[in-house]
Amino acid sequence: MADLRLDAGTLASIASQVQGGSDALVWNLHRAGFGVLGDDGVADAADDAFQRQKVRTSVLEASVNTAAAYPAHVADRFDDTDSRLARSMQ
Amino acid sequence: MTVDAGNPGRGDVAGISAAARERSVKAQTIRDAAAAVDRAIGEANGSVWTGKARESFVAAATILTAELHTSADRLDAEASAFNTYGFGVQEIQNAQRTLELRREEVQGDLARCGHRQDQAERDARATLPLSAESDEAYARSRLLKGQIDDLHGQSAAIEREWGALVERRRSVNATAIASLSGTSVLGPLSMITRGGASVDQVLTQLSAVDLLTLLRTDPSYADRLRAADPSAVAGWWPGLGHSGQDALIAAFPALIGNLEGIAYTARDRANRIWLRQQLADVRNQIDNQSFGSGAGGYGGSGGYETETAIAAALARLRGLEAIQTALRAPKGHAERFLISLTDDKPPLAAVSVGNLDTADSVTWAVPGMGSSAEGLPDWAVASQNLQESQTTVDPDNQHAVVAWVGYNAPPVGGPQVLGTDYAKAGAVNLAASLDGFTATRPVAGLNVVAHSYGTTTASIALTSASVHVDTFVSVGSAGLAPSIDRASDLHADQVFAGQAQDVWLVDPAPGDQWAWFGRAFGDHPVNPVSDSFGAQTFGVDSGAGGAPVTDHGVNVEAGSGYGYLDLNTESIRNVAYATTGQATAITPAVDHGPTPFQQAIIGASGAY
Repeated sequence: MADLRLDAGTLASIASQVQGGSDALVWNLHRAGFGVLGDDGVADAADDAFQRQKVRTSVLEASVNTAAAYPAHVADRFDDTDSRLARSMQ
Repeated sequence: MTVDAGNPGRGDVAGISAAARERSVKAQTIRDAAAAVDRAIGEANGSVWTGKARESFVAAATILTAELHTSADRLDAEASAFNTYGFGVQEIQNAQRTLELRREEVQGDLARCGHRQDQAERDARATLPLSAESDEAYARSRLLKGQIDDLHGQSAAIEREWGALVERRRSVNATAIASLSGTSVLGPLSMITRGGASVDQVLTQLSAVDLLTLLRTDPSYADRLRAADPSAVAGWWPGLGHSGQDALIAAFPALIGNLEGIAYTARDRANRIWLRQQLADVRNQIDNQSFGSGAGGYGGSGGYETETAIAAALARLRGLEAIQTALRAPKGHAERFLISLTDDKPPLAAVSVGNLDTADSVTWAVPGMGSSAEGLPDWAVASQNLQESQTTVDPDNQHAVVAWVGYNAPPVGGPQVLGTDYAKAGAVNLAASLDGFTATRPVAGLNVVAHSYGTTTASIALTSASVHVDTFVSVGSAGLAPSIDRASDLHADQVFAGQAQDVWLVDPAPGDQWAWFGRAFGDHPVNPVSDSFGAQTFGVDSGAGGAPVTDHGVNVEAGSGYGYLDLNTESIRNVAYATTGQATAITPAVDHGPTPFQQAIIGASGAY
C-alpha cells in the first residue's frame, strides 16, 4: 500500500514532535558515587543502575530517530515528487 | 558492604537528595516526551497520511511511548530509592550526633567526678582518722563513686546504642541496594543482577530495548542467549514488533542471524548484514596485509605464519564470496535466504531455497565429504533441483530445501572420512538446527536428505533425543555408525535409501565410485540399503522414472552423466516422492550384480 500525504503541515508537526523526544533523552544525570552515598555496596548498585539507564536512554534515542524517520521520509518523498512534477509541467 | 563503625552516618545527604531530584526531573522530562509522541500518534490519522509507512510509524511510536514511560518509571524508582536511602542516612546522622553529644557529656562528667573523687580521697587521708572531717571526706568519696558507676552505666548504654546505629545503617544500605538492583529500577535485567534466573526466564521478559541495553552493558550475555531454548525464543521474538526486531538485527546481526527460534526471514536479513561485514573485514585484512601479531614479514622468521595467515584469509574470502553467489536465485526460481552464517575460517552457512517461514514442508539437505562454503553454490543448485522436483510432484504444498553446509566435513582424500569424528561434531550442529526449525515452525513438515558422508552425520543427529523428522532419505551413503544398524534407531517416521551401482574408480561402468569405499574401510560400515537395516529402498538407476545415476556426485556437469540430485533423474524424483508423503509412487531399487569389470577381476563372488 503506497503512502499518501494528505496534510503536509500536520505530517511535519508529527515528525517534529517525535524527534523532540531526543532532546529529553540527552544524558545529563550525574553519577552518585561513594563520596555522596557513603557506602561501597550502595555506590556499586547505584553505578550499575546509572550505566544501564544511560545505555537504555541511548537505545531509546535511536528508537526516537527510527520512529521520526517514517513521517520525515514520507514528507521528503512527496516534496521530491511535487518538485519533479512541477518541473515537468514547466 | 561495610559500615564504618566509627561513622555510621557517613554520606552526603544533600548530595543524595540532589541525585534523587535530578532523576525525578529527568523522569518527568521523558514523560513529557512520551506525551508528545502519544499526541503525534493521535495526529497521524487517515486524514493526514495513509499507507504502510503510517502503520509502521504508529506501531513503532506506540512501542516507543511505552518504553519512554518504562524509563521514566525506572528513573522515578531510582529517585525513590535515593530518597529513602537519604532519609535513612539523615536519621542515622541525627541519632549519631545525639549519641556523640551524650558520649562527650558523660565522658566529661566522668573526668570531673574522677577528679573530685581523687580529691575526696586525698582530703580523707589528710584529716585525723575518725574525725568529722575524715567522715565527710569518705562520704563524699563514696557518693562520687556511686556517680561514677552510674556514668559508666550510661557510657555502656551509649555504646550499645551506637552499635545498634551501625546495624541500622547496614539495614538502610541493604534496603537501598535491594531497591537499586530490583525490578522497579532495572526491570527484567534485575534477574541477571540477582542471578539464579535461567536465560529463558530472562529472555521472555525482555523488550528489544532491554535486550539492546543488556547486550551493550554486558556483551558476554550473547553467549548465554545462544543457548536459549528455541521455543522460548520463538515465543519472544514476535512480541518485539518490527521496530524492535529491526533494531536488534541492525545492532547484533551475528547473534540474531543464528539464534534458533527467530523467524528465518529475519535471520536472513541479519546474516546478509553480517556477510557484508565479514566480507569487508576480510578484504580489509587482505588489502592492509594485517594478519595478526604472530605473523611476521616475508623472509623473516614469521614468513611461514604469514603465508598460513594469508592462505586462511583468502580461503575465508573465497568461502564468503561463494555464500554470496549461492544467495543469487536464478530468475524464475524460488527466492533464497541465508538462514545461518558463522565466523569460522572457512565459514559455515546454510542457504534455504524457498521461504522457511511459510513453507508447508522443509527439507534439510546434508552434504558429505569435501563440502564447504566454497561448494555452497553447487549444493544450492542441488537443493533447488530437489525443491523444484518436490513442487512438481506435490504442487499443492509449498516446499523449501535448506542447502546446509553447517559442519566441517572431512576433506576429500584424507583419512578423516573413514572416521566418525567429523560426523559426530556435525551432528550436534545439525540437531540444533533441526530443533530450531521444530520450535519455530512446529506444524510444518520436516525432512532430512543426506548424501555420502552426510548420511553418517545426519544419522547421528537423528538419534538425538530432541530431534524428530517426518522423513529421512539417504543417497549414496558412505555408511552409518555401527550403533545405527536399524532404520528404527533413527527418530524419523519414514526412512528411505537409494544407492547406485557401486563401482571402482577404474571401472568403465557407470555408477557410484565412492560410497562403497567409506562403508568398506571406514568406522561407519552400516549400509542403509541393506535388507537388515530396514529402510524403504528406491531405484536410482533402474531405468524407470528418469535418468539413472552414473556418478557419486549430486549434480554432475551436463553431458558427463547424472548425480543423485540432478534434475529429471530417477533418484531425485524418488527423493521428491519420499519427502512429500508419496511412497507408493516410488520406483523400486534393482539388485546390482557385479559389473563386467568386477566379474573379470574377481569373478562373480560379489565381494566388491
